[in-house]
Amino acid sequence: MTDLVQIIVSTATVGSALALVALGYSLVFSATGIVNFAQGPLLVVGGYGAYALTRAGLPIGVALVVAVLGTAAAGVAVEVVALRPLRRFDAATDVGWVLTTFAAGLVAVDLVRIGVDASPHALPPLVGSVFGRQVWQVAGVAVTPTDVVIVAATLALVVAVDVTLRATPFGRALRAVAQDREAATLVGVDARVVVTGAFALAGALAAVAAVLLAPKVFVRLENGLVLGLQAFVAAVLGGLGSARGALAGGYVVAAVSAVARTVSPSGSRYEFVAVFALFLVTLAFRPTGLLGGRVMEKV
Amino acid sequence: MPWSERGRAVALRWWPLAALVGFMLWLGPSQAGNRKWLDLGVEAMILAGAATGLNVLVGSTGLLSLGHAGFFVAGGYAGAVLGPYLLGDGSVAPDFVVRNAPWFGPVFAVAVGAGLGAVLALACCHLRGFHLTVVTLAFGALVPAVVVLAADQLGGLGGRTVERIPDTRNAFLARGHTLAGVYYTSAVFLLIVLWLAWNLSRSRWGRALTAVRDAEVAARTSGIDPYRHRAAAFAMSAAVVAVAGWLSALRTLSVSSGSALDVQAESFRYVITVAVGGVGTLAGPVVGALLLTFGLGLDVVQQHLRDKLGLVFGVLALAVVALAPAGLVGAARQAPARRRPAPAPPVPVGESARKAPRSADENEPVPDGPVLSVRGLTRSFGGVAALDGLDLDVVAGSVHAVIGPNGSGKSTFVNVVTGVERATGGRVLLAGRDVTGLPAHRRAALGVARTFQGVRVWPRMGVVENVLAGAHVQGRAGPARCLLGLDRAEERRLRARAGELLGLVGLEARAGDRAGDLTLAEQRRLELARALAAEPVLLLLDEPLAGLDVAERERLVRLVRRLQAGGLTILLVEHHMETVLALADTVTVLHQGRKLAEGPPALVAANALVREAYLGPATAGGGR
Repeated sequence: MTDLVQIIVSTATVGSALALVALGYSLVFSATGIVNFAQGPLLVVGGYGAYALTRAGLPIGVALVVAVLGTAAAGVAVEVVALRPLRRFDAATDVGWVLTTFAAGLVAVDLVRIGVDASPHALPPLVGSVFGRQVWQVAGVAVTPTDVVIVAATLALVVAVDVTLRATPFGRALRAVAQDREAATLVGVDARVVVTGAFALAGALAAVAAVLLAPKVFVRLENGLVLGLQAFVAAVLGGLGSARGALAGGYVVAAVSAVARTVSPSGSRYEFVAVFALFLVTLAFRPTGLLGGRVMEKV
Repeated sequence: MPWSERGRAVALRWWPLAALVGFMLWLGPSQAGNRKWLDLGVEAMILAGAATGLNVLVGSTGLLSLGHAGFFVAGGYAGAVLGPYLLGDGSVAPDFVVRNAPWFGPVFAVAVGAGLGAVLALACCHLRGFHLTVVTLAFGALVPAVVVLAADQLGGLGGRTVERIPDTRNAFLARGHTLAGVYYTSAVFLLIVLWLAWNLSRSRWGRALTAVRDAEVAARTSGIDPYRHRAAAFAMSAAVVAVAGWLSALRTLSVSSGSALDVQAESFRYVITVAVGGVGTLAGPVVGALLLTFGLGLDVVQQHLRDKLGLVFGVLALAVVALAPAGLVGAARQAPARRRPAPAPPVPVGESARKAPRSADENEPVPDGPVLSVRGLTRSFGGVAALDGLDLDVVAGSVHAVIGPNGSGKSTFVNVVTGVERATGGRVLLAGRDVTGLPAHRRAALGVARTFQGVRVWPRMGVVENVLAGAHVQGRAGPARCLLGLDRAEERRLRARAGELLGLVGLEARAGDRAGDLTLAEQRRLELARALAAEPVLLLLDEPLAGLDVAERERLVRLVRRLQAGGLTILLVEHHMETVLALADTVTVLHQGRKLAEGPPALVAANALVREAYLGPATAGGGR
């Protein structure tokens, strides 16, 4: 029973954070048709940014807002340094943008390491108590207000993004650019603004995920790679380009890794193996994702 | 070509590599007493070998791996730990092998590297390139986890020392100097890797990889299986990197993976080495490796940037892509067109050049009955049927035209017959054999060749190479023969035939040019030569006249007549009525995915229904 509750709590919280990062992948993929390999590193930027701000004495709420804005700016910076200079590079393959977005991520993480710190850190919880309670005991598992906030905030954000994509001018522009950039430009959509907006939003989501998840898994440099990869698996599993898919994918990946952690004798070591296996199976059998019917390539 | 000019081209092509190899061979003896420089030399050569291995993947297939350091680690363990262990005491291997067990490390490294690479590639090489990148990234992150899980054997994250290592004191010119032995062993490794890469680049397999990268559909219809070729390239490159890992164990007398971030950084080091030098060039990875290794080995760099390598590599990558996308070697060759190989030997103008193509199966006579028949062929997109229960027979040796207004299903018909699109109903029979379920490359192997309405030559390959890649199904050389350069006889035969075909289509003068530099009309003729190179049983021409002027049209018509006279069966999809009437033995008119009329051209042209559907009720006149 304790194990089961533990798995559920872990799935809900970690899955939410993964969903937010996965949503960042999806948004950028929608707008540009590329995968932002710097999405994981943006998680590091957001997390360490918030850590540096709290260390400087700011309350966590303020730190969150500033970190979100700063990471959104970092997302835009990724677009500027990684995407804009690509024009002369061989367009027949994905090599150019994979190389540049990954390099941008590498630079971002190294700047954080040099400028802030390299060691893992905890962040204070965003919400200390709800109605005076600091922790609930459910079948021997501690559930904190932070856990509740992660899930609630994620659901709210995913719904907000989903509605934005479906019902606002920005969402329409993004979908238009996603389908045919040239045609969208012809009818007056500024494709560059849309792409930049998608990168900024992706950065902001990563920062929210980093700060919300920090009380559970610490802010650490490896998160860029490990959580970034898991979030990508989530995005592919849900179908790249789908907001609701990102949410579902996040929970599935988190559930698989929570179960693997619980059943394996040596603790967390099989976690990543299980996620990797899930990824390979997905790519082999449902490369467009569980929810996605999206055609990935025009022939 | 005069010798001086040709010699210059050869020199331009080879000087960077020759200079680098010379430098490395000079460094060894001259710095024998200087451990630092000798060790940097070893590091540079190992990196150059690994990067050349990676370049087989990135340069030829356009797939990027960010986890190749995983193969490096795996190769180190396989070659320096597993190999000696398996060949140790009590092994059943021959005495000679057991006595020299550590020298057989590369065999194990290749086996493990290629095996792991194949498994990873098979999971994702059917998808877009970035999927592979993410899988390799995850694989790299997984390696430390596995090393920790098997800590007893592999030593955990700190790695383990290697006990039995080849005796390199007397290897080559080392004369009792262990590090010098490692140096010359690395040099031999690098030279072998370069030789293999060079062989591959100009072989049947190398061409196939480039073809898949630059125009996958055209590659498929030329008989190249993209999935298999990509996966094989991945396995090859993983194997090379694995051997580099074994060499690195030789150098440091230890094997370790480091953390996931370390594996990632190391993998990126290979990528940036290739990118700085020049993706897809032979000398590029060597240039990049020397620059990176010796550049970072400088004292001043060590002082300031030692702990900022992520930043350095990242900025370097961004700068290279923005400023010198072709890398240093690519930028040095100011005119990329110079990179083409020497043109094919001049084509003898005579009977051999003028003769029509051979039949694909000279041993097997073409059976009686239709070469192609389709029955109830249907292809729907959602609720719309582009082809709706079509029946059609193409008689051997005939020119069969398929005409119809825009949207009548002509292009879909060609795509479904060649296997580019799958039929949603009905059957396609090729000389009586049901090929409905076969992918495009298998149909090409059975003798179906085509040209494209929107030309799809491989623009960055040479004109001859385009034709040679079209002859893929006529070659037999597998990856091993291509790598070892044992395909020369076959290459000569294919090249001679390619020269003949270029003569046939009137492109012999442009044999040495890049296909992308040709005019549209020339590219159409090149596509024809490419299709003929497969020695097809059935040739499909998809609107071959689109965009051509009158003179070019007449030229193409004469060409098709000549092919027909040689006994080739041709299915012609065309808009241009005059041409169809002049060429075709039989005409089928399509309308909304169905057959409207069929018969000899004169009869069909007179058919009132056809005139109405095809020309519109109010239009008069005989063409577009």
